[in-house]
Amino acid sequence: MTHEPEQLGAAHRDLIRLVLDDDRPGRGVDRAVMAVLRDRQRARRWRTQAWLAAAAGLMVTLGLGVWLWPDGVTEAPSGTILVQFEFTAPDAERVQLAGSFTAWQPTAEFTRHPATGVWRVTVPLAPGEHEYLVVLDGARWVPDPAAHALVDDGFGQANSLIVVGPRGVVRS
Amino acid sequence: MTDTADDATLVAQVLDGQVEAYGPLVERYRGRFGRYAVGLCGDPDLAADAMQEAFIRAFERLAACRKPAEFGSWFFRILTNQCHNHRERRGRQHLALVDVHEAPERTDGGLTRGEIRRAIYDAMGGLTADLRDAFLLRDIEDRSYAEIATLLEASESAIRQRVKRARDHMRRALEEFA
Repeated sequence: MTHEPEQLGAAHRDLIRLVLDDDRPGRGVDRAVMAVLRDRQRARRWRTQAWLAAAAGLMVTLGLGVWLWPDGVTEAPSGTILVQFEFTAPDAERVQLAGSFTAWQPTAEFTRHPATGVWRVTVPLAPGEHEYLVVLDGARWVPDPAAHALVDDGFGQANSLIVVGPRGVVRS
Repeated sequence: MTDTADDATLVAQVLDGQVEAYGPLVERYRGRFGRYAVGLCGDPDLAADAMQEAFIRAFERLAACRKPAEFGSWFFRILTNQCHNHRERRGRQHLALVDVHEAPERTDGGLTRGEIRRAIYDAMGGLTADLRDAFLLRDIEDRSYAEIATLLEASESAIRQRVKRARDHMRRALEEFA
């Protein structure tokens, strides 16, 4: 049988309980807790909305915007014409476009058509001549065999050339 | 959502994104564990702070509450940790705070309520954390030794020893109020 230590005494115990009961935290705790949680929920919602808005803006501003420009559906930015590039590279994991119109940064991403396997990208180009290259898997810079012409890049290699007129791509 | 909903229902509602369902849980366990929190902290304001932080932490980790029907037991552990942390942080500053709000009301023995109150807080403040925990759970919260042993992760015999030592100390400290 287990032994119960000598009791404190009812009077002492009741006195302690009475004092502690009097000093128990009141409803102010409930209000403070719920206020903090409501604020956090509001802040979280705001952050989520801000993030979604920023993400949407980023998609339109960067490469994903190109995906949203199927031919003839969206108007090109003022003074430009939408030009679609096609490239066949069945073994490539990633295909990008870089040219004088992107300051030679491979910022325009091709997408592979799921049925044909042909890579496509549409970019707005101002009327005039533009040099460009296709970047395969982020490493190999190759000319476009369908280009209007190949021009010397000044370093012993060739760049592709496209000519854009006021009404669209000029076919040679 | 109602204030009488059981813990499991309220926890499920909170996890479903209904923040307001947490209100009844806060009210319920603030009332149920308030006395214990004050005893552990040794100061009403400190206890209120500890409770507030404990409820917010519990809310943040609610998904980790594996048995929502036993939210109270789960929260109790969080509260205990918070009270210990707050008390360690504050040290014994509570002695000054307790006196600030006292009215000089005389009792039959010629002592004011404030004097009695201060004596009780002083007496509890003289207990080590281990003894105070065991004493409060046994004599103020009426928990069984088995429960206390589980809560404090100690053997039942160790808890009995602590309760005995705590009672001896409290009895001596409050002798004049017998």
